[in-house]
Order: sequence, then C-alpha cells, then structure tokens
Amino acid sequence: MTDIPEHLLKRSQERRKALGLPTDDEGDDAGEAAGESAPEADTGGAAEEAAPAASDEAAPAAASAESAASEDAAEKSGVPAHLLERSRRRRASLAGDDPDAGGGAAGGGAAAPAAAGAGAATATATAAPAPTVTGPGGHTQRLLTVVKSGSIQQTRAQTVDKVHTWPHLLVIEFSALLLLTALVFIFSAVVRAPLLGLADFNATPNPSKAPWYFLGLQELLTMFQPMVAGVTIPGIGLFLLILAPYVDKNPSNKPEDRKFAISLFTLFLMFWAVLVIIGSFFRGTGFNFLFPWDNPIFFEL
Amino acid sequence: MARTEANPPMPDFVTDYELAEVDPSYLTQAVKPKQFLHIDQAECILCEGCVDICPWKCIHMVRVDAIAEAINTEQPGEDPRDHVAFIVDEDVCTRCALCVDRCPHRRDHPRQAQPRHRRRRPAHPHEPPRLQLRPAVLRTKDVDVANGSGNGNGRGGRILEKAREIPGKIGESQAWTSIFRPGSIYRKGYTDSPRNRSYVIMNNVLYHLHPVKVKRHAVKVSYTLCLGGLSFFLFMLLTVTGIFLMFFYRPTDVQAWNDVQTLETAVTFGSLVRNMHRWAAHLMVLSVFLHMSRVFYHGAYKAPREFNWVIGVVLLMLTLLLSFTGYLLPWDQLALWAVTVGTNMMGFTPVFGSEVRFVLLGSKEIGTDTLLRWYVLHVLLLPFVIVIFMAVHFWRVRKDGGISGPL
Repeated sequence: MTDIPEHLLKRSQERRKALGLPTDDEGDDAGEAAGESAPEADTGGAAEEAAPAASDEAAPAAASAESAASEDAAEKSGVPAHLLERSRRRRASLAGDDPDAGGGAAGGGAAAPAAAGAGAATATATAAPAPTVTGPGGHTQRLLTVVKSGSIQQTRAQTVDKVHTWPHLLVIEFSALLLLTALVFIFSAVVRAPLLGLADFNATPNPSKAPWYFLGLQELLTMFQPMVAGVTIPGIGLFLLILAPYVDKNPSNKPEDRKFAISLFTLFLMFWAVLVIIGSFFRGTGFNFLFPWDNPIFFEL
Repeated sequence: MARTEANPPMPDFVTDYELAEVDPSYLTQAVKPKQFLHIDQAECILCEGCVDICPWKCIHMVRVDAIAEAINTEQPGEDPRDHVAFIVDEDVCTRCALCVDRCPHRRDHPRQAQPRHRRRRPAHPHEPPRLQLRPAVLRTKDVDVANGSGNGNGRGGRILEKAREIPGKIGESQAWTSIFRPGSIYRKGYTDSPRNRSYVIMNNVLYHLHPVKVKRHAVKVSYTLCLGGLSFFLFMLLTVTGIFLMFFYRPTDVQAWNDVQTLETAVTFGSLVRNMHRWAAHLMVLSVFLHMSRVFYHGAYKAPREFNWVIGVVLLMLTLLLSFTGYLLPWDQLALWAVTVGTNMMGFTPVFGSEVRFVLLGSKEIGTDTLLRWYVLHVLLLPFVIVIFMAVHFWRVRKDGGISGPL
C-alpha cells in the first residue's frame, strides 16, 4: 500500500482515538511484527510500506478477540453504529418485517451484516470484523471521490492553479483573433500593397534591396566577403539559436537569475534590428549611407 | 468493448446496497489492498478516462444522490446536480493501474502516479460482476409543448404546436446526433457549470489544441501577448486570402504581372484581398520573430521544452522562406531585384554555391522557370511542410506540460 493521502490518515488517527484503539504511533511494534509475517514481506520494499496497513489490520483483530461484547466488535468493525442500525432497519423493511423484531442484536445497535442476515449477528460479533458493507453481489464498493461542482475550480496552494479553457482561454483567443482580423482588414483597406512596373532585366533599380527581413544580411555584405556575410554569419547565428537550450544549463527562468543569457540575446536581437533598420532607412543610391531626411529613401515592403 | 460515452446519462445506482463511510483500518482488512486508488477531486476533469479504460469495469461514475445517504458530505457549489461520485469495486479491482496511466492530469500530480505494483496478480478467476446501472433517459432539450399551445384548439394552435416540436425533433434526429458527440453542448444544452465547461472542450475539435484546464497564469494576455496563437491565425488568414489570389494568377513571366494588375483593378475585392495577403505576411514574420523573443525572455526553451524551441527555429526559417518565395510572384521590379539580391547571396554557399542557386532558380538566371518553381514552393510545398512542423510544435506544447512559467 503506497501513499494513503495525508488527510485520510489523519482522519483515521482521529477516529482511532475516538474509538479508544491504539493509534499508529502506539501500535508500531505490533505493526512491524505483523509486517514481517505479512505475505507481502518477500517483496522487499513493500514490507515497510505494508507495515502501517498491517498494524491497522492487527489492532482491531486483537481488540475484538479480547472483547466479546457485540457492541464493541461492531464499533471496531469501523462502521458507525447508527449506519448499521439504519442499514438493518432498511433491510428489515425491505423484507417486510417489523424492524424491532429483526434480530436480537437490535438493542445494542450492533452489527447487521448484509450478506449474513440477522441470524448471523452474534457470529459476526465474535469473529474478526467481516465485510459489512456490500454492494450488489456481495462486493465492497469504495468511494473514490466525490467531485463537487465547486471543487473543480477550487484553488490550492500545492497544486497547479488551473482554470477552465472554456471560457477563460477561448474567449481571450477569440477576441485576439477578431481584433487582429479587424486590424489587418482596416490596414489593407487603407494602405495599398506596392506593385511597381513590370519586371525588367535591363533596368536595375538603384539601390536594389532585398525584402526587409534579409536587409540585415545585405548590410553585412557591405562589410564582409559575400561568403562570410551571406552564409557563414547567418549560419552560425542559426546554429547558435538552435543550440541555445542545450548550451544554457541554468535551470531558472527568473530574469534576475539569467542576466547573462538575457543580455546576450538582447545583443543578438539588437544586432539584427540595427542592421535591418540601417539597411532599410539609411541606404540610398548605390547602397551608400545617408540619413533618411537628406534624401527620399527607397523603401518598399 | 463499447467505449464509454464522453457524457453518458448519469446512471442510477442500484438501491439494494448499504454504503457507509468506513475506517481505513477496516478497509485494509476487508480488501487487503496493496495500493489505493486516489482521485484528487480538485484536479478531476470528469473525463471518465479511468471509467472507460478499466478492464474490469469496476470504476463507476454515479450521481451523488445515488450514494448520498452513505457519504455524509456537505455539498457546496452552485449546482449540486453537477456533483458526481466515483466509486470502485474493491473486490474486483486488480490494481492494474491502467486508470492511473490513463488519467490526463497524472503528470502534474505525482500523488496519483502511484508505482505499479511489484507483483503480478493471478488472473481473475471469474467474470467480474457488473453493477446494474440503469441508464436514465436524458433528453436533449425539453420542449414544453403543453404550455406552448395555450392559444386555443384551433388549427393555428396545432400548427404552432407542431412547430414547437421541431427543435426537439431535430435534436433527436440521427443526422443531428451523428454530427455532435454525446457530450456536446449542441445535444444536451449548455448551462454554465464546471462540468459543462469541461464538456465544451472535450467534445470539440479544439481538444486537439487545448486541454480542458490550463494554468491560470497562462491565460494572462500580458504573459504570452497571444503571439504564438496570432502567428498561427495569420497563417490561416494567409491561406484563405492566398487561395483567393490563386484563382486569378498564372505563374509565367508573360502573364504574372498582368494578372496581378487585373486583380488590382478588375476583380471584386481583389485589391483588398491582395493587400491583406501582403500585410498579413509581413505581420506574420514579425509576430513569429516576436514570439521567439518572448519565449527566450521567459526562459521557456529550457527543459523539457528544448526540442520545441528547435522546431520553433525551423518554423521561423520556414516562415521567412514562405515570405521570400511569395515576394517574387507579382513579377514587378521590386520582386525581381529583391529576389536577385537574395538568391545571389545564396550563390555564395561554399562548395555547392552555383548548384544551390541553379536548383532555386530553375535556370542560370531568374525567369519563368524560377517563377513556376517558387510558385509551387509558395503555395504547396512550404505550406505543407510548415503545417507538419506546426502540428508537432502544438503537440509538444501540451506534452511538455502546457506553456511555461510562471516566472
């Protein structure tokens, strides 16, 4: 048995105290002894885990052997007396009998084992607690959980704080989508996409510029050999970008812990941004440097 | 084996049972468990995966009132009808832990991820008895015919009466029920409750994209700025507008520019759609780039998300290539010379420079072959590849535990 939830153990402890049974702390010796003799003992690690369970098992058995009183035994079977009483009455009423005449044990509010019937009440009382709680076909049904409608959104410090995707996330996504569509639509209605004259191999525009996102590379061309600027530098940049998660061994994602990584990446971003901006707005005829206010610049998207 | 429906009618529980809260010590004696199943009620999304996968069918989801007198719990919450209880038949359960594996929220909650038991249990000797669950009849919509026909016994009243039955009949028709899954809100109606909020996602194609619940901080706009989602949406917008443009465009050097010109001047909404395509394309390059920056600044590329970052870099490259291949298609001066500059750079690739350039251009110089080649790349090959990478990207976002953070 692994990992019984904390609160169940606690409740069990409280209940044992209320019933006057030895708690787990007191019953440790018995528990260990029982654990060794338990069938699970051969599985090594399981023995220790089984110990508390076995102590649970041993304690009521010992207790019930000492006490012959049926009331005590019923108590220690773990089923509250009032529930047993209710169960017995319901059973009796189903059978059409008078509830009080149902069995001799009625006065004590004692066991009414579902399978055995009223006649076996005394037998159950003296024996170790038998399964009193039965489902159809004599099966023990255990309640796994009650999922309350409010509890689904209950927040707890230990667990990940979660909200339902619908409506919380989907509403945001949908509004962002609508907003973006409206933005693109309005912008497109107002600003026309460029369409220059028919392509002409004999009329090279001056300057000729690549699309804006490649202008950084074109800018590099003015400083380095074509192979370095066009292939080596972007290749290395791309390679480093891919390698980033494997090089960066710092497990934290807090900005204050990652000053180096953040400054390096900011540098990387700024490098390209500056190159693209220079290429876009500060290059005129012959791809010479000039300020945008000196001359009308050539810039088309 | 028939699959459990996503939202089956809540079963009634059999009545001739006794269920009582028992002491754990009693339970250990009665069933001698090696492990307990435990469901964290705060995390349960009611997907019924555990119920569905149980080979012995020994886990049941029932209405609370089926066992209410036994469990003695207070029932908070807005709508007590939405409380459910999960019960397990301890005598039948073999602790196979399939339900634990199946639970979609297992990752986040190690308490549920109990170790598999160390010894194999002998095969179960008999067919497990099943609970007799009487299915309750769940109507799609309650059509209130009796109150609706209050305006007399005349013919008009009867027609009205018939008309009022139509929505109910449609809702129950085979066509309607075949379209919407059993748990769909279009079949069972929607009232705002946590249970229905779960079912909205679970019975929706969006379940491929989003889990039922997400981290609370993940829905803050200030964290993601929606950049990833908007990049994806821009891609869809570009696909739609791009398909429209394809109807009016032929990729040859004689026709291309004229077609674009015609599109601008003679086609209804042609100019608008072309503008949208152009601007959305530039915006997508920008948003993908910003998305990458956002991910870096949040440290979201760290384990276990390293590989998704790599896929993201590939997606950035594909986005640039898509934009660049589209740049040539208008076949105007801007396109021709921008692409000339770009492809000249690729010609400087070491060793294979001229070969790379030849493959890209389809000839020694840019011409009609280049146009056809880039057209196919732009409308078919690259979108195909990027969709595959996007699928992996989105899948990994979920598999790696949702979005990163909080910081």
